[in-house]
Amino acid sequence: MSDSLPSQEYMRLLPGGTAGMLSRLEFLARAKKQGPVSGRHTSPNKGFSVVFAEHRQYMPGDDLKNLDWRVFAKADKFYIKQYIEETNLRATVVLDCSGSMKYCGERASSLDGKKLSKFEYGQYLAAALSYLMVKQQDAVGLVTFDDQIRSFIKAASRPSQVRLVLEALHQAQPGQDTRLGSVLHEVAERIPQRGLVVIISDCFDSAEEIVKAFHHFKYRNHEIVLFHLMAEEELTFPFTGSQEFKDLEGLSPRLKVDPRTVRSAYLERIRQHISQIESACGQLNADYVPLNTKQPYHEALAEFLGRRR
Amino acid sequence: MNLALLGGLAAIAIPIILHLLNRRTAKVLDWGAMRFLLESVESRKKRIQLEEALLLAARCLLVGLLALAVARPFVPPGSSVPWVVVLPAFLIALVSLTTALVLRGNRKWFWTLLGLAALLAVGSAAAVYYERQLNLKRFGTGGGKDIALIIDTSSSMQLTSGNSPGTVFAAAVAEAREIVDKAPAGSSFSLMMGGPVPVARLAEPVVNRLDVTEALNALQPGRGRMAAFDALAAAAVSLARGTNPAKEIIVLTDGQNIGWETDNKARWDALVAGLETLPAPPQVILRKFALPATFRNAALSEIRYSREVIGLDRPVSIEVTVENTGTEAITPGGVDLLIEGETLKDMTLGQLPPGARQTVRFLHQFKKPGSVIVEAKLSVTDDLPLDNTTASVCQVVERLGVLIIDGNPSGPFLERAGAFTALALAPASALQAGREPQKDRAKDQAGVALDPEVIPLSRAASVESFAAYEVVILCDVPKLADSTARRLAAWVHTGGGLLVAPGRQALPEFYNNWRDAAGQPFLPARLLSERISRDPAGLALPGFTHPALAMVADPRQSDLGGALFTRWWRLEPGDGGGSATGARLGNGDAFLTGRKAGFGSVLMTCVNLDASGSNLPSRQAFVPMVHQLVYHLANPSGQPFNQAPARQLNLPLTSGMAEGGLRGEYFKGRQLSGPVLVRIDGKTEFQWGNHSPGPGVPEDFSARWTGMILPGYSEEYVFDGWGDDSLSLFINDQLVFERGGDGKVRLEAGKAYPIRMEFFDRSGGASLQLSWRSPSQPRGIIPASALTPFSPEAEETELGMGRWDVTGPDGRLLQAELKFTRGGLVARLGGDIVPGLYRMNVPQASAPQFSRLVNDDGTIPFTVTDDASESRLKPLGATELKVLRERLKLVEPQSAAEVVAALTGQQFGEELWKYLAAGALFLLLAEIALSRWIALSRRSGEPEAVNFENRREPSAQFKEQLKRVQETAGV
Repeated sequence: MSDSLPSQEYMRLLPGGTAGMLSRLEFLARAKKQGPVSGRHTSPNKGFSVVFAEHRQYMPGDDLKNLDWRVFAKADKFYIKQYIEETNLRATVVLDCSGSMKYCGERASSLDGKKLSKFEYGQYLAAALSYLMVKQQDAVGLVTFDDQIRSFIKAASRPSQVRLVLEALHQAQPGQDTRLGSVLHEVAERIPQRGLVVIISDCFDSAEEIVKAFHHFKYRNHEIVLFHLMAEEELTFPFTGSQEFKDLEGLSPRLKVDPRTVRSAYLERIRQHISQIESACGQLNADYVPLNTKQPYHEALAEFLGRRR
Repeated sequence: MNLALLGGLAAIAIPIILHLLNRRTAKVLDWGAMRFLLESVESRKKRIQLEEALLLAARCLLVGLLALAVARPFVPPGSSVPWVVVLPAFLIALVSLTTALVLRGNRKWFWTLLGLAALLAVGSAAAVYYERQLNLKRFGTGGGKDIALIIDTSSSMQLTSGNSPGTVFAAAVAEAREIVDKAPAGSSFSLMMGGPVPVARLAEPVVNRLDVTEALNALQPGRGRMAAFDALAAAAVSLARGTNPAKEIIVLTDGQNIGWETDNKARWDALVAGLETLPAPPQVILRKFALPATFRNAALSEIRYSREVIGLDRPVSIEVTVENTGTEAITPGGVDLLIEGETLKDMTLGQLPPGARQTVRFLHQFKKPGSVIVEAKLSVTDDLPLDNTTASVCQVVERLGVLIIDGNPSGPFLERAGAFTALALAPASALQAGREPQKDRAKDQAGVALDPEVIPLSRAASVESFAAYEVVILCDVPKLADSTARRLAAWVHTGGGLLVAPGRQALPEFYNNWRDAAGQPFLPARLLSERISRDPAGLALPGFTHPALAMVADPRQSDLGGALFTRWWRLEPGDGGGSATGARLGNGDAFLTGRKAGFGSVLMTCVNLDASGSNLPSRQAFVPMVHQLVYHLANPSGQPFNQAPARQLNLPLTSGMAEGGLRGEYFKGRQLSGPVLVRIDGKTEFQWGNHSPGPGVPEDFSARWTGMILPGYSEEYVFDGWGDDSLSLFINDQLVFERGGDGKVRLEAGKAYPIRMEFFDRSGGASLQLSWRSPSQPRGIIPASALTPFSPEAEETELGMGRWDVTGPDGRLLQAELKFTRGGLVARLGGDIVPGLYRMNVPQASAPQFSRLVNDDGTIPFTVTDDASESRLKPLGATELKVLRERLKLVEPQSAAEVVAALTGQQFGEELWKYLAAGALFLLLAEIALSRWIALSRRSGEPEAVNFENRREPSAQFKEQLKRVQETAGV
């Protein structure tokens, strides 16, 4: 159990309170849903199991053992029998480590007296999620990336997986640049089995690119949960007086501007971006979770879980 | 320009520096959502930049304008740079340059603004080049000025100054030309000649410099002093006619102190108040040409006569004063006096030290009555020849008509009230035992100037006209008939002299209620009560202040001190205007009071001049005293043909003539237009027969008489008349009768009704007659006393009677206008009046009418007197300059260049700074409005906060449980 885990440095990502709360939440959730212990979720992925799902036409390369000979006998056509695979949930947490995630902001929630940047918030969130998954005997994996994939841990449900994931999270550093769209495509390609993809990101890339990447996930039959992280300042742009804005991703030059002059345009732009992403998520049946970093992450997580069940 | 201006313009940098500093001090903020920020900046960039540029430009311009306004810049004298173009171009270019600097991010705007600045620079350069090439001064320095040039034309300007070859006058004119040439473009000039009477050469400000230069070139040096104050006043008047807001007065003078009237506070107050009413009180630029430190000059001052009235009876002593006004001792050669064709020489002059005076006396017996020219010449070589000659015109009278109205004509001669007076005036004629002096006696005895006529009071009412006399004396008259009193008052108003000597019969109620036509008390004093004293009172000779008594006031020459009075009237000086007490008795009671009444004057003594109440007639000084009083009364205005310079000279051609009558206009033919003769006619009865009614009037003529009729009773009058050939009468503009006949009109006493008579005669004998009658008066010709050519409302109504040519000194040609005034016929002369001798050409036809005045050559001579102090060359002193500086915005430049600098120096400071300040104010408001608008537009575009909330709320049950969990977990 998590309580017996050695007090490693990476364990900071899973503060005691949070772990305690999460185990109760799990109980809560379980009490709510009566279901088989093995596999709390009906996987949308079709696999080879006992419960028949459907037929599909034979394609060269398919395993011959799955041919439905009886259909062949009746219809003289090759069909492959497909079964619903009842598995544990295979979840992959995808954490955006781009430069923009470094943004902290004055109004962000704090932990141990330190204000959390979006990245740190994401770290804690990812850790909590991973812990929760493993506790539920689901498989969990982790992908961190900035302009490319920095670490890739395949989903597994063994208890040591939490340690692996936490270690990787602990070592992750916010990088420079993000090409969120392209990296997500790569992630989509590399996640081997269909499962749940939990993306924690501020989505600071062109909405079209991101939506394309989501389509890619969907195409690979992944279920998407997007934790959209935003700092309060990014949503209200409360600055006054002359400011010089320095790009955290180091892409664009510094910008000196009177914030008041651009506030409305900026907010309009942000609103548009958010609604683009949100509506795309709606179309893809993805779970869109807006997270303002001013809200403590465990609260937000608890709310999310409460909603999801 | 002053340095503050440059410092001020540097202040334009302040908004820019603020702007840049504002950017530099920006807080650095690490920002994640740069992509969106950049996009939104991109979309707003143009508008933001425009707003910022506008604000910045407005602020720069505001600061620049304020700096300029405070710096009160002026254009360098004689600048050929068209500042009105260059300065705004410079400002705008500066602002566009700075704005371009701010907008350097925006290529398009940057280059556009740079191009604009360059264009403005090129334009300014082109304007400068154009201006240099053509030297038009067309652009000017922003608004011209109205400049009044006063050039001193006084005699002393004809001195040669130390450092220039010509006269000071020539130097002044040359400098005036230079000033006109270099004055700011758009200026307009008026030009005054600062003589004894300032004459406007250009009364209205003229813009065309050629005209001004021409007028300057035509200026001739004048004579006499400069009436500097009057010249300033005239300049102020001409400036008021100008259209430019900025005004300047330039006085080019040698800086003599006369004529500035610095003691006359009231006049200066009025002038300063007048100047204050101009849009901008003018600066007075006083350019003084130095008076020579040493000069040689002897001057003749005016000619004086020993008697006020000059007759043919005795030789007259003529005095001429010679004064050395120079700085060196001088020995004049002598004085020549030219009189009636004779030359009297005087060689008694010795050496005169500076400032000394010597009086030269000539004795001359005048031979003929009339206007006699007396000219004095000083033989001397000095710096200022103008004052070496002087002239005077004296009126030599043959007889002086004096009418003595005797209130006590019965009894022995010496007991008659007027006896001693008549004796005193004409001893020879009056000594004809007990008989009245004969009127025609004067004709027998040539050379007797005084011609007294004594009539008893009873005949006073029948005196047809007092115009035949110069002086009337009332001796112990108890009272006069109302009509006589009224006529006498009217006669005094038109120039007569009246001496009232009330005796024991005098009735105070008459004297105290004697009023003139205007209803004012006529006499100078009121009779309080007659005082009979046992203790006789003497005369207080030191109290004899009246000018007529100056001769008898000297106790060494006069025995009047021994006069004793036992009864006299106590006089209370009246409250009528101008009453003064001229002599007193020993106990302080008034002895002689006097006042001017109209053109004449009235004297009143407290006793009758006889032996009944005093021993006055027994004094030896009695005769000269009476003579002096009569002379004074006969000649109330002094020497009317030797007048001080004035804007308007009125030369009396008749005296005491305008008692009544109508204005008659005579025309050729029957057209009542274009009169050939205008004159005043008395009674309404004419018998011309076959003679012409007047010079220039043909046999076939028509005439029109106009004026007012003054009825004596309020009742219905019947007018009847006839004319050969025809007479028509209009009263109150109503036809009474036409071509002879009669008519009735109701009139009221004391009111004046317009009357008009029209007459024509085709040929043959011409005559007319107009009579009136009423229940209270018998039929009779309307007398002159009931007619007047003046309307009663218009006190100053004057009738033009034609023009005569006048030749003045230095060949000046002038015209005198004949005016019929209440004071009689006068020749009115205006314009360029300088001291010297003038001759008025009387047309031959009119000469007989004025034979008393006209000389053998058909002219009436007169002089305008000079001011002797002009020759003394006293410069304006410190106290006078102090007064001027207090009253005026005085600038005292030392050269033409400094005058121009003073003219242009105030240019912007005086006029432009207001516009600059107004512009700055406008910009300030615009800046406030703009920034407000920008702030508002930004605020109004403020969107609601971005909705970043989770739409799907967890169930209430879950939330509750969660809360519990959180509590127990202690998170």
